[in-house]
Amino acid sequence: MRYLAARALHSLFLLIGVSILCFLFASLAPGDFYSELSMTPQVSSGTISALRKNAGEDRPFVARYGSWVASVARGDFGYSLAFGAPAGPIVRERIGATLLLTVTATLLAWLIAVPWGVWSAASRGKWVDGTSRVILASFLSFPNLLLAIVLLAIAAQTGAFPIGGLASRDAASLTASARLRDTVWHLALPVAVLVAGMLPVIARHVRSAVAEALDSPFVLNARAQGIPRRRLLFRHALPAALNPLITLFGLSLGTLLSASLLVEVVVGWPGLGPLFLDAIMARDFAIVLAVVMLSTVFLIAGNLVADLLLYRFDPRIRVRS
Amino acid sequence: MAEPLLRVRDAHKRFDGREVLRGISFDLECGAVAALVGVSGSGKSTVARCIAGFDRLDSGEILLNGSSIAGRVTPAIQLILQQPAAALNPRFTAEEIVAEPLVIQKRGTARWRRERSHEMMRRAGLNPADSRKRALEFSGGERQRLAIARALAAEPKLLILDESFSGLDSGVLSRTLALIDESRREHGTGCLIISHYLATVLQWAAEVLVLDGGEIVERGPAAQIAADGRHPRTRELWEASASLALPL
Amino acid sequence: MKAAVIVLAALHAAILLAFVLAPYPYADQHRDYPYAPPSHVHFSGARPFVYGLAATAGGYTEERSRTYPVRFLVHGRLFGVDQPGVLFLFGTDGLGRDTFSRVLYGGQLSLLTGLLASAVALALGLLFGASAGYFGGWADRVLMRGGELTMAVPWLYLLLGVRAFLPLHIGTGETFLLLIAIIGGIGWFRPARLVRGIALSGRERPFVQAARGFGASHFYLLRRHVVPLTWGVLITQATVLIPQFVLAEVSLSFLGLGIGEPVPSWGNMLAEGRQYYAILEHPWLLAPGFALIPFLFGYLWIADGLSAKYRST
Repeated sequence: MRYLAARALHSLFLLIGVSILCFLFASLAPGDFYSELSMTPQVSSGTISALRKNAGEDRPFVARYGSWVASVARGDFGYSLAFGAPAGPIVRERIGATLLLTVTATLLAWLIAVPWGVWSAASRGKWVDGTSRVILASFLSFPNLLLAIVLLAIAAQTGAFPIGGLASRDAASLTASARLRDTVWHLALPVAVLVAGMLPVIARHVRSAVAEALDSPFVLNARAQGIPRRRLLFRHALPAALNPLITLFGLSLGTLLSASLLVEVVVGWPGLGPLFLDAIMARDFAIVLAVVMLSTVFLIAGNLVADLLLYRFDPRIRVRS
Repeated sequence: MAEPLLRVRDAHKRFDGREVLRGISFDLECGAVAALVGVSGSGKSTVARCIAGFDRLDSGEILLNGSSIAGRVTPAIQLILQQPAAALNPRFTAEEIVAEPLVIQKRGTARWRRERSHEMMRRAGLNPADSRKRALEFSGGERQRLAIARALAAEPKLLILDESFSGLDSGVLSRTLALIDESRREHGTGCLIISHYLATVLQWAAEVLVLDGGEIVERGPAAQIAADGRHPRTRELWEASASLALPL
Repeated sequence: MKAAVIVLAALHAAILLAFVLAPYPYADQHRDYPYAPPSHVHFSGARPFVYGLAATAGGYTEERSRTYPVRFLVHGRLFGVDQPGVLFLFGTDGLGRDTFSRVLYGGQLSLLTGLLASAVALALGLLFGASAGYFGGWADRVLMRGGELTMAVPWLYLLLGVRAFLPLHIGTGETFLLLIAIIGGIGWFRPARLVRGIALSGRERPFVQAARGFGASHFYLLRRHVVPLTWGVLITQATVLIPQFVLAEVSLSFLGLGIGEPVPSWGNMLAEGRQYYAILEHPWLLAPGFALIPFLFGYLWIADGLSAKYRST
């Protein structure tokens, strides 16, 4: 329990540190929301500084940071200059779509990758393993970006999957089950792209961890004692391989908000990706900061979960701490 | 020489709350060979490390030729460990290894250093033609000799051998000892042998100090210890090693 | 694995020799031939040639009446055809620019960005990681905390965020250097941590202690003993970082935050793919994306081989 508290506190400090650094960086950056305006000759610099003053952008760092923290506590996450509204609700609206995509893809990827990895570790050295390694390497070498574009083009050509969007236009009028089918139909393409990217990473890690466990002295010892293969695999090797896999799992959790940025932009999925990109182009600092902080929260939380799971399942960690 | 080469006075050290050294004191003269014997845990390696400067004493003095060297590493004192292979960078060539102290001390030209390195190798019974080989290509005994050759290339005033003789065959052993003996005669190098093979060191050390539980329980000339060692610990060590005594 | 290294080296050489291998300069526009498909190269015996290209209502057809042999070592380039013949091995884009040539030149930019950014990251990682691991103390603590902070933010978001808040409208040369600085500047923490670990344990190795016993300075110990211990990790990291950083440039340029027109990079060329209908009609526009694949595969294969080798030591 003390370990949990210590790690949680550490994570909190990390979060605060990141927020300060982000704020600092944005303050030092040469451009802000109004810089683009200054490119237009009709807008005088007086207008721009008035606009800045109005938005409170000319206050000292500590004041701005303080009011931002207060805004976070309220749930507003600062004020989006591009939308003219608090950033929090805008971002929250989009998180659901992103999570729908990434959670589905992550689940699917792990469900396929773990058996694949275990099986290829168990058959290492045989030609099926070699073939599997080449297949996984090929998946990894195919850039996510390219795959998204290619699949999108194919979908447009064949009409098999919709282009962009979360739901069809008439989704509201459909029954619940029809709506579910519609969502799945829309999910198929982006999920496929994400899974193609995640699957090989997980499968290779699983294979490597299980193979190392299978070759370790204590498993060889168990084999010498005549323990049957299946029991060997699941009762001896897999638990030993858990450590790196838990870390990877934590990373999967941690990147739930960030893994799909490019895919969302290409496919037109209404999640955080396009929102973030537009905010960046517009130098809308509030939204950029809100998205960065939220995805950082997820990453830190993911690592924390991994740490706790490791603490629970790996006796060596408990001894060390 | 009025001043002894090495003087240890009232050395105390604790490790994790346990008292490892309880007031060790002894002298070593120039060119003399002394042996510190005891079982594992008696504190002998700790003494060696403190003298060599890799550990600090909690209290007490270590003087080299009259000046204090407590806690400082100095090239004048060379420590040779039990596992010499670890003390050699496996990627270095034999030549580089033996010449390293000279390189560090910036002595002579590259050519002179190479020649000196070959010279030391020859004296240690190694073939200078192998000087370009990497350390990991040599056998354990050869690496032991490389380590000693390196230590002697630095022309130290004091050589400490910490259990350096286990695992060596007699031929290698006598050659190593001859090398050290040469250095003793030519440079007055003192030698402190740390071991638990009492019978072996008796054949070579002039003075023997028996260590037990961090204290010196018996000391005296080698012959006297051999014939007349009183302390139960001394008798134990003698009995344990007599059967294993290696002929020199 | 040696085969992979050779093939990868050959691919890099091909890209770096773009100015010889590409039949056309990257900015050359053939206004008469927008979106031309890849040229069919025919053979009469062993000699390659193309037919003339004529624009029709529905696209392009070959004019069999005019033949243009493919000439080698002409106009300072390895191969090409005489005017008015055209040789578009990968077709052309909307402005009639030869895709094959642009893939080669674009590859130069993307690959160089990845390579140089990796060099920056590895150099910084070695410098700070070795110092922190060897000397410990506050330098080490600062490094570890700083690394933790940087790695707490998802990598792509960090990259985009940093890029976005720096000047957007700058020249190609400046953008190139900026990208290298940002990507390398963000990416040096992971190699630094690995180097730090090695320096930390390396400091305690007996042969380092022995050299200390001879009176060696810290600089000597670092240079002669500790840093050489890191070569393995650095090489392995290089094979992992280079493809990652190339993809970083591609992503940034794709989103419009990297290299811009008219200088090609694989990223900004792929940006045409944001209009999927263009890809449908003219699939050869995806060539820069597919060009990435052998590079990524090659680096991956070598990285696997290296980590297997170092795991067994």
